[in-house]
Amino acid sequence: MTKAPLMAAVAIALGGVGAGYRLRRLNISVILSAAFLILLTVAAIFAPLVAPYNPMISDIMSNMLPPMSEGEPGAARYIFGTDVIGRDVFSGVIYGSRVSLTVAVAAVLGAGIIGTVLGLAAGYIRGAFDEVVMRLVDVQLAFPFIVLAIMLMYIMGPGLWNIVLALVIAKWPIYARVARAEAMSIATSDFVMAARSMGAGHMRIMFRHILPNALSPLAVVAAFAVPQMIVLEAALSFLGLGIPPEMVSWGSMLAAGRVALEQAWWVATFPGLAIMAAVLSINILVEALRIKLGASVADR
Amino acid sequence: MMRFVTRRTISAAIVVVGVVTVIFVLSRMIGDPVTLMIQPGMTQADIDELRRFWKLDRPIIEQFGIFLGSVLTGDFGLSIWQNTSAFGLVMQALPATLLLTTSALGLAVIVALVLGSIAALYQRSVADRLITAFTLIGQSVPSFWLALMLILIFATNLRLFPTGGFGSARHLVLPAIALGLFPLARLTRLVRSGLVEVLAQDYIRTARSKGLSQGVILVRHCLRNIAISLVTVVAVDFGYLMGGAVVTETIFAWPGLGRLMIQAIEHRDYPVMQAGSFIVAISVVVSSLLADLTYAVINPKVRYD
Repeated sequence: MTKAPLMAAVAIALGGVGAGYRLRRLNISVILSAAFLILLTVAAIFAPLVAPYNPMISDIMSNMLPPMSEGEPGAARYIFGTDVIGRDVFSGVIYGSRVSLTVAVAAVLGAGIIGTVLGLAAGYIRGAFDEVVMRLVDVQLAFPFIVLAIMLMYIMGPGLWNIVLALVIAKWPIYARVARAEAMSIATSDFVMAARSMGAGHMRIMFRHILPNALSPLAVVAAFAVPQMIVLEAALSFLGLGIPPEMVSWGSMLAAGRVALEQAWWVATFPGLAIMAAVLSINILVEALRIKLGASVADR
Repeated sequence: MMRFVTRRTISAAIVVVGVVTVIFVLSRMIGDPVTLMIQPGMTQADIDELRRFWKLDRPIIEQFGIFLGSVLTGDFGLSIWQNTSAFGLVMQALPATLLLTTSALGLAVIVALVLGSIAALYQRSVADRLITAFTLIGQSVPSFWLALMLILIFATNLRLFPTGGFGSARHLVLPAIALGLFPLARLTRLVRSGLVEVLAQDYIRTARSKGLSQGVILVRHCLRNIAISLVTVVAVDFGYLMGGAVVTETIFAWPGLGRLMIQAIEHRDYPVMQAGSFIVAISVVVSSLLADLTYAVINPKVRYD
């Protein structure tokens, strides 16, 4: 019974070893990661065409079927098995990718834009505005993310865009810090002086001269944040605070699988493997990107 | 130096006041707690009485003033759900959380030092590649899924450890691993990259040419240098773990602060929620303050004047 998760772990470990082997060249692991992400994105977009079943429709007659079980005559196999109330886990994983990818990308964009604008302004204007923004950042960072997000989700209630909002509120400070540091160092450079002496306005200097030069460290921070967002969305949905019950997400599938861990290991195993594979592929790609950009940006 | 300590402490205090404000605002946004206390057969007068008793009839500014004052004395009022001191409940749960987070962090630091050293000393060896792969995977596993898989394999199938609960050292093993793997993987990478940098320095070559053994060089010359930068990272990780503990504790039925806060939110028990998030935020602020001060003291390169 433990064989399948163990074998899956071994497979992932082997993939990871491959990644470790060739991280510094353009290599198999980068190509595999990119391929997996493309596949995942395509599956997410065309979920209704790709998924063999509707992941929300339960069939109590075929509940807790192990992976690769035969479906009804003429129907597809249950590749990843079925859950406690007979929903197809494979279709759930495909539909769940929609939620994960949407939330992750939207939250990174939202937090990135808000944080960047505030950070740029703080680093450029300095003075009282800078002081206020940086204090806000400090206060925000004092709350461990999950505690803050849990409170926000509780106030707003479950919902896809509410998760995005909670993640944006909780995650903008990191961009603000990076953007501020960049703005402060770029603001003293000669080309900014030159632009100013030519009569460029503050807005123009901030967004046309400083921002483009601050983009590459910000891009690396943002790229590293995507997998974090996937995990955090799953955590919130796992706790029942994220996605509403009528939607399927990897986190809520894990929560459903947790209840039947002993009787049906596959229900919790496959959505988790999906999260891990997505996170690992993005991390490998971003690592390759970071080495390429040579950006000296810290890990988080 | 004194000036740096004072300045840093004052800014930490400002952050604490900000934290208290945020907690107050958020917990009032969560909803009117009186609606939850209403029992069948209560009249409007009883409800008003309840509202008066909890001082919820006062203007919001006054409520904030009362809140600020009581926070300073550690008084968050009675838990609405359990009817005992909210602060008391939180302080009762805190040791379990600290035990879990420090075990996870201790495990992470020790294993990371060992693995990171091996990887750096034998660069490009099979061991190095395996360790690099391990750090990549370790940073990609969601802790709550890892927790479920650990329970599945080591508790329900192999029956080596209990599935959850609190009491013996065996109860601690799985939650500590589930919580500690992510910081472990991250720290291993940092130790490795730090060591790789240090090992290329001239003074290491000097130490080698003096005939010092590999072990002495590693501990006396390399790890001591890395320790300085690790202090900050470990402090940040401590904050991460205080948050991550929420999910881990819920899965393993670990009677800590995180589980208490989830229960408090379910019961709209805002005194407990306020006290809980206050203590969590304070521990994060204090640990980063301590890290900064330690950093200033132990790093001879840093001069704050």
